[in-house]
Amino acid sequence: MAPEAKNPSAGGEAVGPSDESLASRSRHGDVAAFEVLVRRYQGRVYSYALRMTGDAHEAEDLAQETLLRVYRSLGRFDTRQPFAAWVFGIAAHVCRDWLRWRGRRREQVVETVDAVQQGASPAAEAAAAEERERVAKAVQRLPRKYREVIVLHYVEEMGYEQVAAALGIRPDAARRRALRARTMLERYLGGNAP
Amino acid sequence: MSSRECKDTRALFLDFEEGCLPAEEAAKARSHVAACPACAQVWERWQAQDRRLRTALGPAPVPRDLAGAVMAQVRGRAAQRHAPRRMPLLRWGVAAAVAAALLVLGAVLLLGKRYEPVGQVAAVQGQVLARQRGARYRSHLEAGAALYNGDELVAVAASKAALRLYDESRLAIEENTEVQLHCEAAGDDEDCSLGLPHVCLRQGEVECELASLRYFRAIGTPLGTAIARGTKFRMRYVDGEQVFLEVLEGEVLFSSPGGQLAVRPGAVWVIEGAKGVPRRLPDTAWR
Repeated sequence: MAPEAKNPSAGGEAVGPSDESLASRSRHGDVAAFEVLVRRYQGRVYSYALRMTGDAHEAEDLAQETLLRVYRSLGRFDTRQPFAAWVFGIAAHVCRDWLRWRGRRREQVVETVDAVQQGASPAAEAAAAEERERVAKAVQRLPRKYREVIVLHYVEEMGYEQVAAALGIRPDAARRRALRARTMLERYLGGNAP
Repeated sequence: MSSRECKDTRALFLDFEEGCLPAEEAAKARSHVAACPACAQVWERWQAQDRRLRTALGPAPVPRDLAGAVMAQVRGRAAQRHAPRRMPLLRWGVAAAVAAALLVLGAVLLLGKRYEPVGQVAAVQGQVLARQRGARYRSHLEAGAALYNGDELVAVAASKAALRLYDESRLAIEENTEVQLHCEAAGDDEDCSLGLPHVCLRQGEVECELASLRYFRAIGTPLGTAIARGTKFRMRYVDGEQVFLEVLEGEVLFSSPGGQLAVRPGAVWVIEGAKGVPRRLPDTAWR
């Protein structure tokens, strides 16, 4: 079958004020506006940290640290730029610091916690959980710079332009990394999709 | 089909998938894949992997109270700030000039060293000494004194100090204890390479009650590290020999180069020697 192009959505549509306007209000001391941003981003930042670290406890800490760092850095946010890319740029830095530290400590990942889908039969749920774990572990095996691109693209549903903006790299570099990551994932996962 | 043509086409799959390939190149790739069974197979696999990743890497359930924990700290910080006051333009100018002069003077005097206040001394008993980062001498610490990132604190015999950080975390320093406050990752520090904010416990015993992870996430010793997960715990380091950990509330990751485990209340754990792994003591007495 010949390839058909598709265009992944860039995350869900925000309801209410835009992230950028909320960030602008937060910068001027509107704590309630920042709370809206935190509630809007907590899941996304946590999911990113979880996929980058493979450790639910650490992911929670890193998500918290990321959101606090966002708050502290609001003065440096350029409201003409997409807020999401800026937030995930910070999240990427926070996770990189942690991964570097963990690399030095040569620690083993304690546990990998994954989402449990609701509404499926126990057998299907178990199979789905197993599949998610297999994929998550394969993603964990990717070198950090490739993993960042894959996680932002698939977990955050960012296009590669946005991924590049978040990571501070050129779009063609983001695409090269994604291509390389996908090749590695094919090797790690094999072709046996369920 | 030439292998070169196949290779070129496969290199376009990512752009094709994202829908950002120019129409002409997309048409060329489509016709190649339609005519080349090998590339058609690779494209099928490629799409299957894409579906698989999308399905498996969906958003994870958000931990309860994550936003609440963040906002508690944000509100704490916001409350600490002085309310902004409107000043006439001239006063702004004068204030800015004074601030700039102080900044330059401070930069020269401190030779680029950063002094970030992180909390204050809540109480002191006996003789507790403090040395700021970069200072040559230690001075006596008194209740109410400000604490700075990088401060070294020493509580001699029959002395102790209680520290309160701006995020309401508390740190109790017992007698015969020496610590340094690293409120940011100390990766480049000569004495310490722990890459996250922590208390460096060089000797003695500390008890830590963390209200947030703003200033400290861990207590580090040369033998092992206790990494907090929003909790209360006590740690004692016996120079080069042992490090003890007792968790009072919540959970702490007790880590050494030999291994790590998550520790909960109800027991005392120890790491012995440079290659030790955490092990549980038979009783809760560690002194």
